[in-house]
Amino acid sequence: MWISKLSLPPALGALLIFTQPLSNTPQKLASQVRGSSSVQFDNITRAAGIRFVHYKGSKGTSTILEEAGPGVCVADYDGDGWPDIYFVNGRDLYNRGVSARNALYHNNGDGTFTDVTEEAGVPGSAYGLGCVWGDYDNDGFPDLYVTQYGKNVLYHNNGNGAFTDVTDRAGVAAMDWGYPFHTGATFFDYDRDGYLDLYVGGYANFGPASQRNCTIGAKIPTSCRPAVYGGTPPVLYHNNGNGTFTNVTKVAGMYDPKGLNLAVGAGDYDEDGWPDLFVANDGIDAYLYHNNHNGRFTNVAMEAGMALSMSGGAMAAMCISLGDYDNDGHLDLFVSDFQESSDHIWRNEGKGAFDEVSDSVGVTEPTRHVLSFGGGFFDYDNDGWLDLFIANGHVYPEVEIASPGSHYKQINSLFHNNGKQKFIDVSKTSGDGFATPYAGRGVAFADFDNDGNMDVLVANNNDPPLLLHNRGGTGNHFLNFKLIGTKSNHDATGARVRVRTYGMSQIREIMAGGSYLSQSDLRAHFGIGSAKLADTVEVFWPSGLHHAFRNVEADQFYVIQEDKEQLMLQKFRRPVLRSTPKG
Amino acid sequence: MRSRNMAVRFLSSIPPGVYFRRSLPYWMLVWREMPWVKAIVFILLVVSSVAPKAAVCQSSEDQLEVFFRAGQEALRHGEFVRAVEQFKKALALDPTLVEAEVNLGLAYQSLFEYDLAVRHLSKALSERPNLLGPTVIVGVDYLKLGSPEKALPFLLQALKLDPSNREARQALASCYLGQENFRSAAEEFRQIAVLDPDKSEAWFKLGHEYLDLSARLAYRGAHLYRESAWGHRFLGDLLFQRSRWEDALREYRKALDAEPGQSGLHTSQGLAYLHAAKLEEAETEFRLELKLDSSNEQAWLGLANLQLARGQAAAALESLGKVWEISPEFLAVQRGFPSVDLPPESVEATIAQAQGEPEGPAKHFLLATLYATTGENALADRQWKDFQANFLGRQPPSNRVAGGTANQDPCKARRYAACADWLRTRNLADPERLLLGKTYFRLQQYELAAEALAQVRGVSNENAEASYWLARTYNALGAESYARLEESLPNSWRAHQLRAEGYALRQDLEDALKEFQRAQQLRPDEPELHEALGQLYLDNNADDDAQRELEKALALDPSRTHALYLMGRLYVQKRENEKALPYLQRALRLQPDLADASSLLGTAYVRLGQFANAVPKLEKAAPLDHYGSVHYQLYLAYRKLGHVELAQKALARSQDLRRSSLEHDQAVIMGSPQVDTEP
Repeated sequence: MWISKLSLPPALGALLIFTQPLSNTPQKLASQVRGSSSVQFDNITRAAGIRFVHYKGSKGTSTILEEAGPGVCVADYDGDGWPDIYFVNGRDLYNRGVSARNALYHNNGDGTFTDVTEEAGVPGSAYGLGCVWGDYDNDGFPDLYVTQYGKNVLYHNNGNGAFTDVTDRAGVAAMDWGYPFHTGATFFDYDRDGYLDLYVGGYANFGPASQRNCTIGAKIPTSCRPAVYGGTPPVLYHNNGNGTFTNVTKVAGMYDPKGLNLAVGAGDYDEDGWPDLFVANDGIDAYLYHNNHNGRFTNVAMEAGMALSMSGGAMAAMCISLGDYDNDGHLDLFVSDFQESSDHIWRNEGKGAFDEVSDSVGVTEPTRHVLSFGGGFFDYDNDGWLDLFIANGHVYPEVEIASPGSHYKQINSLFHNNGKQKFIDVSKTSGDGFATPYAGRGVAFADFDNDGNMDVLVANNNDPPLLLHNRGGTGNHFLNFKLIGTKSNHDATGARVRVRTYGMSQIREIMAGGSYLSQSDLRAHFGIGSAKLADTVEVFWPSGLHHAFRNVEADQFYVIQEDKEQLMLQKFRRPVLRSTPKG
Repeated sequence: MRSRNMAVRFLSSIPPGVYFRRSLPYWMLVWREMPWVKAIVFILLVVSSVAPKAAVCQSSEDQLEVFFRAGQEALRHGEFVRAVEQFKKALALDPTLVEAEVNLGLAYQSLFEYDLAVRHLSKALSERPNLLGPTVIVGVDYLKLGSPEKALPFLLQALKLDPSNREARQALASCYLGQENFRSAAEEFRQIAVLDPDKSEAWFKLGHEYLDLSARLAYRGAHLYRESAWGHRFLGDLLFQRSRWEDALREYRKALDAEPGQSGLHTSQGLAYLHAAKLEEAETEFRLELKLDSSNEQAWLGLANLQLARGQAAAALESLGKVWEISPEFLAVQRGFPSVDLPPESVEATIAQAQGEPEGPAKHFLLATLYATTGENALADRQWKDFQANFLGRQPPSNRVAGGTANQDPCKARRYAACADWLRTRNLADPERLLLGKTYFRLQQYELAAEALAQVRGVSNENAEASYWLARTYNALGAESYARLEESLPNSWRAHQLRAEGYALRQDLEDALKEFQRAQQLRPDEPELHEALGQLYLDNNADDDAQRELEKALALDPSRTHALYLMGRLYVQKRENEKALPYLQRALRLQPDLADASSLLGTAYVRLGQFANAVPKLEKAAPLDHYGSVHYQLYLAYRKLGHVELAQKALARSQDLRRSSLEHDQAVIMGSPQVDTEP
């Protein structure tokens, strides 16, 4: 729970290291209501000290670039146990003297955040779109990659609160093909050599000489759809293990000049031990790059049945989220789509094929009249079933004139998974976090206050973000695991955790990227309902190693290190609380 | 539904007593020659001994009459299943009874059992080929059953019997369209319009048919010639008509990339820029066209439009003067000039400037057209008269080149009337037919243009160009029909409907709704209007309004297949797939060849997980799957049913179609904001 509104910068005062988690004690939980009480989300953005406001930088009618961003990324960059936040920002492209930069907010561990961008040295260098965290050099500190319009930037985490721009040295600016519009990116160890590789999506071929605007309705000017520009190829970088990367896109079979990549996410959908790559494309078929185990990939999206919607049409796919919503042991898929197209859920049949179940699980009608961006699966009520959050918001500010009844800013959606193959829309009853419409874009999930309940962070286009605090109160129990690779990559990206309780089996796969140009906390969070113990917790490491733990006590934040066959507790550094106010 | 209405009309025309005027020798012959009749009588006698009441009844003829009348009665009361039973019984007694055969066929028709209807009616027609009603029904039914080649002889026969039969002509036109015989189809549409006493109806429908022909050719051209400049040009024109200037420009650019020297492309591009208010770019394009051909009248006209938009009267006059020099005939028919909307103050200023210019045909032309836009008709008429005087008084062109002895080719000299006359005297091969068609097009003699262009055969470069001009010709003919409707009956409900459709095409929802509502005020119980309004709402995702209108349409006429299809679409769109089924099923019963309904029903079944039901519907729609989506759904269905090989074939076909068709083409035409799907 949030402690106070004190916002002492971490540099001031002594820091106390606590070994006990700050979650509610089991005794306190016992007194709480059990069962299916409605969880409320509170908008605590300002209370948390977040002052960041996204600047899209448009002049007159927006262009496609100015309506695309932003993403938002969560990681504990300083290892103090509290997830921090990186916001991506636009820029003034018209020399109006407007200053805008990205922002790194340090989680103070007391319910507040502090903008540490300047001292960290991570302002970004161009018009920002998305971001992704990944410890590419396995030094124990997550590094930051920002996708931009123009050269991307890789910030190496020096481990002391500061970062260094190592883009050129690493060779990951992603201007290899000469196209500037980069969107989703993800770190994943595709060759399982213990080093995180990097995939960077290419979007529309939009440049200074491109058509700026199109029309909708009766000649109303607006931004153009991506098909007007055509696509650009992505870049796959292989991590050489020495701080540099090599462009292996063509060798890997991923060079695709017509791609309109937005979200990208890696996950082992066929459970062959090798991470595959899902790519959401905007207006053409989605891609599923199957990892052939030899440094090459094959796009099997059509055969797998998720390239197109069930009616055979291409999607304006913005978001990729992988999660086992039905707890059958296979990663299922969520993809968001355009207004009047409805969003999509595919059930992984486990034989390398996906079956679209959007209609039957109940997400199509509630998402029909919204334009969905980021989001994904997360268990907000800790009942053991992955729920669904979606950020909504249109891309045409002029839509309200062209299509009365449609709105540019839209309310986000929250669906509760009832455990019976149904997602129930509970948006309207989930608190003031769902009261205000925004042009929602990137989404990240994290337990920011380490209270055992997953919170939600939404990046909004040209607006402040939304930090939605999960009040919890269901009485359900949880488990939270931070994995540290030693033979595998340090982030343990690609590792799979399986938790069994009372006959229910859940899986989580550690994956970077996903959502929309964003990244969630890499810790694996499990809600386990009324169980106070997990019968077994297993970890399947990318290196091939397997760990199994029995009778794991609930309501704890654990660390599992690959070279140690024991569960440890996560440590949370806390600021010192002054007993008397200053002055 | 036409054939059912035909059946009803036919039935009501049959007098009850006519079928039993058999001669005594006939019945003696029957008795002697047909042992089964004796058997029936014997059975009846036996039955009469067991069931006296039954015996009191009847001789076989009486029984025949009873069955027959009972069948007729059942038909009149709409009890078609019983009617079938009765007529079958009658035919069991007398298989040669043509009347029973006919009525049985009609009963099956009323049950939408078209194959059975065709069987029995055809049988009857083999005995009595001059029965008009059944002939028409068989023709129409063969079309529904997807056999236009079988329909053709019946429809031609029906028209021999009654040249004024509009149903037969409509069905015949559909036959011809199926064979891509656009010329014959157009002729049938013209004849239908001539036969229709309600002229607002006639012009409205003829206009629609012409535009439909134009669109068919355009889609066909975009598909057949997709790698060529013509394919992109077709698409560009479709987009231009929908006022989607930027999208049209993109297609024209692609056409120019494919064939930089194609005549008229720069002009099309210039016009698109002009409408998009990009005057500099427009001028560049017109001048590029003139670089390729300094005598391109359209380019000069485009320049004149541009110069008017800039308020440059003198420059516009100069450009028009050029057109006059090149081809007075061409200028004389440009009554639609200017093609850009000019603010009233700009028109007045231009008129004032032009009045200060020297007299000449270009000045008369310009003033006439500008006065017409301001509604000063008397002044416009005077200027037209002066222009006509110039036109008639111009020196006929010399047939000899200076100092030479040879005749100048009138076509090359742009003397279009003379060119046409000259070509008509020759045996024409395809290139000359094409030239004749284009010549008539320039003279705005669109019917003659269509006649010539439609005869260019095959799938070839020439046919690509001929198809293109034919599409434009049909478009112009459609516009002419609409113009007649607007001029003669501007306040008719059809005129309002026409305007509504125009607004809807240009995505001006507000004005479209207003016009539809005006039409409905004049014709509140017209199901077609409710259906059209329902579609407009559906296309704009106003589901509740769409449902209301479509339900009204179906309440007025439950057999409107398009309304049924749209209701199905509404429910599929809302993901209430179960509710979509009865509408789509009924639409297909009424019109088995409705590919869209078949495809959509397949989609509904796929979404419901009823893959075995989905497959036959999707397979039926598969031949018209341009973008691969039907084949993709077939893939999903086959995969779920475990038909691995069929699934792979369907997937491969889907991928081929997607590669070759580019889904964005569909979205580009359909105007979806995103692909889709736009689209």
